[in-house]
Amino acid sequence: MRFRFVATLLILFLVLGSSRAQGRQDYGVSNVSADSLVSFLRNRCGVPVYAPRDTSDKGLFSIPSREPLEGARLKAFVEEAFSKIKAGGYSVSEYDGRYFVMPGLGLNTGLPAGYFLAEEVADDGSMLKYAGQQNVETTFQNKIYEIGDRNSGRKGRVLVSGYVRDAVSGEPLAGVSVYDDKGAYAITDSYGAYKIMLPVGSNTVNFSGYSLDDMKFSLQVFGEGGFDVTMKEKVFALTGAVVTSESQNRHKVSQMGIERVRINAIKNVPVAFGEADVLKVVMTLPGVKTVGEASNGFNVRGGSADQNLILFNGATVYNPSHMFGILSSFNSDVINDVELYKSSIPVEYGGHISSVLEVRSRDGNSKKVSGTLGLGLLTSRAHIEGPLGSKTTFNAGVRTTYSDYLLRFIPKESGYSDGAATFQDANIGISHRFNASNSLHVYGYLSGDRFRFSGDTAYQYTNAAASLKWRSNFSDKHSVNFTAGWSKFAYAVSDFFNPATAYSLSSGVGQYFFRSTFSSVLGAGNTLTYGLGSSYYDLDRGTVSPLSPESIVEQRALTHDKGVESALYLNDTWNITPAIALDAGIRLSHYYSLNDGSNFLDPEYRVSGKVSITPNFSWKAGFNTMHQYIHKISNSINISPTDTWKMSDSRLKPQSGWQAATGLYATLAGNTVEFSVEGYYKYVDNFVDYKSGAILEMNENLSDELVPTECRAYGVEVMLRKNVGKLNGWVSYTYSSSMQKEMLDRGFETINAGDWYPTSYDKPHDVKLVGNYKFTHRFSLSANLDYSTGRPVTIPVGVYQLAGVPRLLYSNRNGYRIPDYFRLDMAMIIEGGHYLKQVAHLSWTFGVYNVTGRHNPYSVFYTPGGPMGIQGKMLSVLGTQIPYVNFNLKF
Amino acid sequence: MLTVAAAVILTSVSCIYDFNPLQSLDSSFWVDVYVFEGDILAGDITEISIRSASPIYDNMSGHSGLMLGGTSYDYAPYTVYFDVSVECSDGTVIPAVFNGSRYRIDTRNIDLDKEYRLVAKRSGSEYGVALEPREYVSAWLPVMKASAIDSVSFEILDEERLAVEVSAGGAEPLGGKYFRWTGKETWEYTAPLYASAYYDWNTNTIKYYKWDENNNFYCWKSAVAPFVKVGKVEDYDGGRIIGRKLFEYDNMNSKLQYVYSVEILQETISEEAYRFWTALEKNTFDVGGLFSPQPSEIRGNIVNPADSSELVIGYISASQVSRAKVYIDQRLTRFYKGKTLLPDPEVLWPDNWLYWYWNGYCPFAIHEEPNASFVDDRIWDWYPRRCLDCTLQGGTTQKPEGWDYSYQESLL
Repeated sequence: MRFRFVATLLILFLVLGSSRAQGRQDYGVSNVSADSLVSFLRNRCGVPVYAPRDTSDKGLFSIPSREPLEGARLKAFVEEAFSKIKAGGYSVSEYDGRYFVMPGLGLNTGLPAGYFLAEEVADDGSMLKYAGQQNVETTFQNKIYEIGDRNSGRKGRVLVSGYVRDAVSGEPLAGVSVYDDKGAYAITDSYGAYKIMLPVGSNTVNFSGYSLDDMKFSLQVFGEGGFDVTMKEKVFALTGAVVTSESQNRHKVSQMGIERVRINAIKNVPVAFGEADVLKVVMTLPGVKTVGEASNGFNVRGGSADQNLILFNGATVYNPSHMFGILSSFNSDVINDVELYKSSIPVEYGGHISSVLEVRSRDGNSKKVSGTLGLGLLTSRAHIEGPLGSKTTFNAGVRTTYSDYLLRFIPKESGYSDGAATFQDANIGISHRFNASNSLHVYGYLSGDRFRFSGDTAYQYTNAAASLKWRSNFSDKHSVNFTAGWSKFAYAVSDFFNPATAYSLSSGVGQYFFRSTFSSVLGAGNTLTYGLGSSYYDLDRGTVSPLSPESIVEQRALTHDKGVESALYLNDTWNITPAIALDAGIRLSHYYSLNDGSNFLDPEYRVSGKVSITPNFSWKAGFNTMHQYIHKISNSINISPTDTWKMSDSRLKPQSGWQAATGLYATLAGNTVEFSVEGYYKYVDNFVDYKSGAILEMNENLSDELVPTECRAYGVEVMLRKNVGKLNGWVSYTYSSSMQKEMLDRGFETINAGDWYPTSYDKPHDVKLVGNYKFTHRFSLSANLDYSTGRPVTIPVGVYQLAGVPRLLYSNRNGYRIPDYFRLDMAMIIEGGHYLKQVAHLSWTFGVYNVTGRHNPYSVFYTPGGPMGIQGKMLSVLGTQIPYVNFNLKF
Repeated sequence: MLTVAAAVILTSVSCIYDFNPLQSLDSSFWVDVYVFEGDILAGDITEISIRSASPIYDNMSGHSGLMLGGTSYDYAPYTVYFDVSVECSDGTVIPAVFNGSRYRIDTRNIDLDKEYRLVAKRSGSEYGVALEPREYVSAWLPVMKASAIDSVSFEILDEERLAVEVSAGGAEPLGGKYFRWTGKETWEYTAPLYASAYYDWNTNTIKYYKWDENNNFYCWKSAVAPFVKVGKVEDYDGGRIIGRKLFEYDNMNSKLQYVYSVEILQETISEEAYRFWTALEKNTFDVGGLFSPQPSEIRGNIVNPADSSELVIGYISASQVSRAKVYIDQRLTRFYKGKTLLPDPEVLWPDNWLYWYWNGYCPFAIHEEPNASFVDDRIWDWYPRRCLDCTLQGGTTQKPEGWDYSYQESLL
């Protein structure tokens, strides 16, 4: 049924397009550009003629014809056209029945005589220099480009579309702002595509994106047409700040609470063991907190870690961590950028209450094969990317650790020498561009972790995902993004202490999904986004299997939790005036439990608006409602390797929540500094908590162990960001509160007697600083500072003897706080020379994590023992200075 | 070089430090919580203890909580009495007798088909003012039927670890799904040195022991085994418990020096009891780690009916008990690797004997100088009494009833 709907829409748009074309009555052409003439010859005359898009537009061509272009008249018309094209400074070459129109010299379709006898000519770099000059030519900003047919006679606004790509690798650039000086605005999507309505006539169009050189083009717009742009990575001026319009981008859109970080910024942030880490950088953003080091679970605006939807190329990742959380499971070499939605969550995404984190990998270099090799203290990694033919690119990476090997060197007294810990991950992506309007992207991801601390019990978990994306501009104003795929998280715990009872306990989440999102430009600054999506969940809540032939354990599996989550959504983005914009959407979310047939239909609303008081000062406000049907079942505060998940059913209601937010945004100091203040209030109900002594493992009636709670969170985030100049980075301060309360009255068993209590990730004061200073183009110094209030913990306030052992009497839930957290990291990045003829580019990173060596507590607790009977302890996961060195080779 | 550096880093970055998390806690904080321990044992003597929880202070010293009994105790001005009994569903009441540490209730002949509950009535005074009377009752408890223990065994896991394990359900089906195991351990040990003589301070002479005279060299000691384990027989276990590990000792544990015995008591318990003991174990031993569950609130099945919000800790079960015992004999296992460190002896002439005797020393043997051609029997090596008298370690020289093995006897 859904496919029929999509097909009907496609047919409808195709019919509309063809009917518009049938309205033409003239047989020849008049005052058309070379592009248009070539297009006419190919499409109307059936001549196999090809030409690269020529933005230089050497002249206009007129070839009138009073007779229909058929037979001899057609042949004469074509000959006249080629003749005029040649006269206009182009060459026309023929090869194998096809014609190629090239500016300047023609296409040489054969090898010169004696080619194979000639001596090899050493490459003196001249070709590379020539290519570089061509590149400059194609991105030349100080000329006027004509868009559309001069004879179109269009008035008002017309649609200009195109792609923005990286000048070096040819990869699409997402998140680039495209805007004119009169209020028209667009932003490139993950495929680098944009659509903008521009008035007919002269326009100045700006292209700006984070860490990219701003570009400004003069366009003479006659009608609808395409305009592709290549942009270069920003080279920071070392003599002073560079004025950029990039900082103004926030004033163009109504959405708020969106943070985008590109991979080059990620690689500048020092992290433990020097491994560039996507998630660790996300944690440096305001409003994002974590319960401690060695945690890749993060908390956004008072939400729990499982309330974040983490998407890797569209597929959900349920456990994004390696090595107990020390590293994230994303290989930075294949990543393009990450985007975090804290407040204005796009209407196509849902199913998680708190935030959406989109991690996107690069398509791969379309111009040459390149790659990197990295060697660090804990891991080694390699990646390669490049073209596969003219329309296909690939990007693949692998990563592994030698920690398993390293553990053998550890002294036996440490207690870890019998342990083992290892992981691997692999990524692959293939992108194919069928034509300017259609592209297909296929991604695969696999990661696995294994570890054990003793000889008796071993743990392993796996993340796997495969996704397929198809993007099509099926008409000038309409496009579709179709994503489908599969993702899986599975873990297994093996206990082989006793062969007679050796068993393996496994659990996992499987998800099949698709999303089909259409985008239609309704008018100037008015874009409609609509579509549908669905996910099928199959949760293995627990399977026990014997591990040895003599084991008495019998195979047993809990009932799989199955359900279908679907949504229809519609959103309108409307720039009413250059100063006022509105974004309003509705998402009709539905969940059907295949276990007990329960249905949940929940409309969700996404509204945000902005008013630009001046071009450099804006006010925004937004309101979102969300629902979540999948719940993490784990009583630990961290994302753990043995987390199980449970779907909503008649006994476990979906989590539902809303968030209201408002903010002020200013760009200062000649657009070099961004300043923002955002405030929010969030409310969630039916968030799961656990009864005392809950049995979560292999429990068929898990819902009996859970209690619903309501949560409220509010906060203010202040951020100052400088993206350009020798010194760049950001500093932020967040004040926030995150509280929780049981919704049931269970008498004396009610958690904290039914009063509000702080969540485990409530850290009211939070200061973050990420800075990078470039001394020269080759040497830069980075620093990362993190301070936050200690998180709440439940600690013992009393002690008693029971069964011969001192026992602990705990405070009310989260009644105390561990000491405040403070950490300073620093790194020196040394780049090799940037010579054109250099085969490989080397770089070194020297750094120290936790420069002050502070023993930041992860948890505090008491254990029996010590001279006092019980002894207070503090676990500090990375409680000392960690020097590191990383070597990278890029070719 | 890189690998060595990384290995060093791996070992050194994660640390657990001693820490007192309650530095800011109000020192006047008082935990007014009673803790009940014991089960109603059908066919046996029921022993119940009632303690109070103690607050954790910055400067706390080790203690085991206040033992609350039928008589006043040394914690003036706070005096608490409990009137404890077991009530039967047919209305009969079996009162308890306080023996100075526990309330003993004769439940040897209770009817297995009836339900029982524990009742404890509090009275007492604080600063001379009578405490408000309170009554604590457990839930009504059916008597859980015993399941026989197939065996209790030990397994030497490696050079350093030895585990005691229990098996059940092989010979006859288990009577339930949830079990609780406790233990009473007894071990034979010696003083570090065998004294051949003793000091008579009346005559300032040293006299040799007679052959059959007890010189406090061999002792036996009993204690509650330091574990409480609960277990669940999973549906997929085939209704059996095989080699369930109860506890481990390492090869330096002096209890294993000669002969060690542990008697395992197995009770069938309810699911609620299982949850209570599981939560208790997690709260005690499984906290503070990276993925540890958050501590949960512990209560149990004892309440103050007049104020159900009052926190009372403890879970009383009513059940029959199965017992089985295992011996671990060092002569067979050669597992124990501990060494006893002795202080240097005091070499004393008779003039100094009395002084050192009153300072806790005892004669060991006539002093022998290395390479000396003769010994002077007036010069003796003296050691601290604890090196020569095993009873000072809390044991007794009386062999326990039913002690099947004896290292001492094997030497005689």
